[in-house]
Amino acid sequence: MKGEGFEKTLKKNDVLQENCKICMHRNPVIYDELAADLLDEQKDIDRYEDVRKIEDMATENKWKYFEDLLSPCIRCYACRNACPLCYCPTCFVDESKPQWVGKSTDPVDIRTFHFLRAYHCAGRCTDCGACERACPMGIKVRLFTKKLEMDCLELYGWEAGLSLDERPPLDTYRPNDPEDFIK
Amino acid sequence: MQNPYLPYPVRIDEIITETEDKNLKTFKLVFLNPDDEEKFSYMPGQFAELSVAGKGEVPIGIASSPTEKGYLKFTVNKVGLVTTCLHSMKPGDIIGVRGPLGRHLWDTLKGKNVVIIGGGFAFTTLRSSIVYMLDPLNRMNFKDINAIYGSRSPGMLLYRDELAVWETRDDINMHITVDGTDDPDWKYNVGFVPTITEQKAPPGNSDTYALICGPPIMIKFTQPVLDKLGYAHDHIIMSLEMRMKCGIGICGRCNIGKEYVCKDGPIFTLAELDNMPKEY
Amino acid sequence: MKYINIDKKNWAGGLENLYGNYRLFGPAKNNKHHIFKELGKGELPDLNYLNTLPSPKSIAFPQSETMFEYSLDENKKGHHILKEINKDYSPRALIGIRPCDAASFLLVKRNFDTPEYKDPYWLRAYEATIFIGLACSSPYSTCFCTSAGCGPFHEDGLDLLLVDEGKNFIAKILTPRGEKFIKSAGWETEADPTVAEKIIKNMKIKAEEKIASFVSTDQLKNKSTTRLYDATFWDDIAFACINCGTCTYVCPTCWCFDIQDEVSRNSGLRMRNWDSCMYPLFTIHGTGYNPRNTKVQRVRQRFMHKLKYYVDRYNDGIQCVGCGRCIRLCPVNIDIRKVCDIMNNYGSSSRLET
Ligand SMILES: Cc1cc2nc3c(=O)[nH]c(=O)nc-3n(C[C@H](O)[C@H](O)[C@H](O)COP(=O)(O)OP(=O)(O)OC[C@H]3O[C@@H](n4cnc5c(N)ncnc54)[C@H](O)[C@@H]3O)c2cc1C
Ligand code: SF4
Ligand code: SF4
Ligand code: SF4
Ligand code: SF4
Ligand code: SF4
Ligand code: FES
Repeated sequence: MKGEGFEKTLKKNDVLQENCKICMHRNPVIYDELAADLLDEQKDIDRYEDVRKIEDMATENKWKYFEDLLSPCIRCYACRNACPLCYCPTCFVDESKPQWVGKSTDPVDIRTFHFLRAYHCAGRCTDCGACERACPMGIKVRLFTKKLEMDCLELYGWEAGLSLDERPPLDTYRPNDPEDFIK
Repeated sequence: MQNPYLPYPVRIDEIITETEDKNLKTFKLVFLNPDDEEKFSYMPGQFAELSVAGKGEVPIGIASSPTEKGYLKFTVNKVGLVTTCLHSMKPGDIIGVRGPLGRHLWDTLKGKNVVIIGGGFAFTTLRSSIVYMLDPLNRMNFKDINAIYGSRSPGMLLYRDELAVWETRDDINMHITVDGTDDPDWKYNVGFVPTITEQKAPPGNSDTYALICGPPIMIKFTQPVLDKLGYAHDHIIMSLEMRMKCGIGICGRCNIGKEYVCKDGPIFTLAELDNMPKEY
Repeated sequence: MKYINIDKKNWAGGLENLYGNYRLFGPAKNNKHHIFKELGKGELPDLNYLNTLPSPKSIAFPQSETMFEYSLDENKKGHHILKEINKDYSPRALIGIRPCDAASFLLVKRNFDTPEYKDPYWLRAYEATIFIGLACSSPYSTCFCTSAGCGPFHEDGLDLLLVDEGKNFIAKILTPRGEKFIKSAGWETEADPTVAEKIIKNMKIKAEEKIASFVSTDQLKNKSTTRLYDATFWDDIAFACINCGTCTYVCPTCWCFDIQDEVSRNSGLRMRNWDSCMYPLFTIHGTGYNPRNTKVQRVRQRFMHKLKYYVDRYNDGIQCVGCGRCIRLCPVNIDIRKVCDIMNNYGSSSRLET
């Protein structure tokens, strides 16, 4: 990289999007034509290091962590608008009858938006990183969706976006689904 | 500093169900503080924000005339959040009124022939205009008054009793019409508003102004009729609807081009609209 | 014109003296970027910054602001009647605001302070604020203030301009309010006006030379509004936009807001929140009809408002101060400088256009 009066060599890994660094599907899973040769997929990558770090936190610390994470949010919804799987005709935050979420910058409303959005994306999020790239405030929005993305993998063996024929885990029932939540 | 967002508190005095589908109700409102009535000095064609605590505000045309003292009237269609709540209220309940808002063009109309063309529930501010012009103190300020008002069916007409009285008066030519009816006793016109306008409205000239309020489809088909009758575009006055919040040209929501419909309108002459983006 | 030399050694002490007379606001680092925040006692503004990520408009126009309160409890006197709220409009000082952002307050004032209606919330906050500007010596590559009606050393809208000279600030006093501020800080060393003038002039020329981009706006006024509106280039401009509204939220000159009621049990608030013409909800009618139903209409509204409707309405300048925030933060790199040039040049080959 060169600029006025400086030159610098950057390591690719230092400037790659976080999600690109840990991507396991560098080759398109569905294509009609492939323009170049297939690449070797990355191996020995720990995709969920950051999620586990948060999981290991004590409850108060977790809460504090997410509060800090969200404090700069201006609720512009760029993350939602950039997301390829947010396709509801009317997003729940935009409903007025009934109005589920308040419209101000009240932290409760901001959390509600993010938590609910993450859950709405469970089983559909491919960790493409569009939300994080779009956020003008530099918030790591992926940290919400990633936990659910990990859960889908661990609980249902499901990775979104790999198959056109299989239904996502949250709209199918299988007798061997874990049901811990009912007990 | 006066706060232009603060509504005057009013009490609902009476609620009249206007139409057979029960979707239109007229609210008669009385100011809690008599001084406020003084401050709320308005002209027909203006509107106000009705404020329901806990729900929000809605812009509604003023249906009463300034010649009717002691109360305000608004006729409200049940649509969404605020209007549905209004429809569930009862006499005695407290709401708020903020206004009057918007401009009017009565200086232009003084001494002229006035042709009123209305359709559906957009007749509210036109009622205000008719009552205002027919007031004994004002009638001499206008020449001929024609009014054409139509709705889908007889049961959907607003202010039916008043319409019947106006029909019998000789200081206004009232033409009531419905799209269709199977009522054998219906003694007025049958036909769409544009058709009746073509038959009954006087030809356009420099002394004649048309005031139009109605659904977009009615306006779309009435406009060529008025062209044919010779109305110049600066003699056709229309009222526009946009989503509004502040009502005073500050929140930025209701613009068409550089005009804010709340403050610079909601009435515009067709000549003005011709030079504005068609974004309404 | 009066100039004061502030030795940086006396900076903290002066602010200490001001604390108590003014609520002090200044840039502070939050995550990776700077924001304007209220400074606590002993807290110093971080003036080692280019500009804040969100604009300082929220000092007079917070993203969420309570307008009225009311009770819905029928047993309470005055239930369902909206009441005004007491707010803190004691003097506040915005320290280190960039000249473009200061200019934006004057621009936005046209909207909030009109001959017919005065917005009491904005106006009271604005009147309570004293603006202490910080001249820019190293602009962003996206700054285009010099062709948007201001510049890195621009003084309009400021009470005081600080110029960073390394070991000290030169403070140029621009209004009596600025003078009072300097006095209450206890900064008294007057600078020789001719010398100070000269230093500032040189620094200003250097700073202006660093501004790398420009817009041309001279033809906007002459264009036909409806022809620009109907122009064919809007589809191309809007193509990549995701209607996120970021450009309007971060913009110091965007003033649109929504009004909402928020109820908790028996008590309620009427609030206003920023809103944006980028959102479909902005214009949708209760019936579901939306006169600005498509993305391209909304993108067109933003640029037409800033670069044509505003020009038509106020006949002076554009609704943009060239801070470049919308360019830096747009996730799809839509650039107002390009759009402005397209609009300014539209149809200029045709004589009909003038
Ligand atoms: C100048 C003017 C005069 C009007 N006169 C009348 C009248 O006399 N009688 C009548 O029944 N209706 C009238 N309307 C339309 C009426 O304002 C809407 O039907 C009403 O705002 C719908 O609100 P809601 O809360 O029930 O719907 P929701 O969809 O729940 O609306 C929520 C909010 O959106 C805004 N909004 C939604 N739709 C509209 C709209 N079409 N126009 C303006 N703001 C809107 C309101 O601020 C409302 O608080 C008028 C509109 C305007 C602009
Ligand atoms: S894009 Fe960022 S600032 Fe905007 S709503 Fe999402 S997290 Fe909040
Ligand atoms: S920031 Fe960019 S993508 Fe977002 S609304 Fe503005 S122009 Fe569109
Ligand atoms: S339009 Fe963009 S460059 Fe202009 S003032 Fe707003 S954010 Fe700054
Ligand atoms: S550009 Fe859009 S959001 Fe900004 S002031 Fe204009 S209408 Fe409002
Ligand atoms: S736009 Fe101009 S005034 Fe604003 S930060 Fe950049 S150089 Fe400074
Ligand atoms: S309703 Fe706010 S500007 Fe018209």
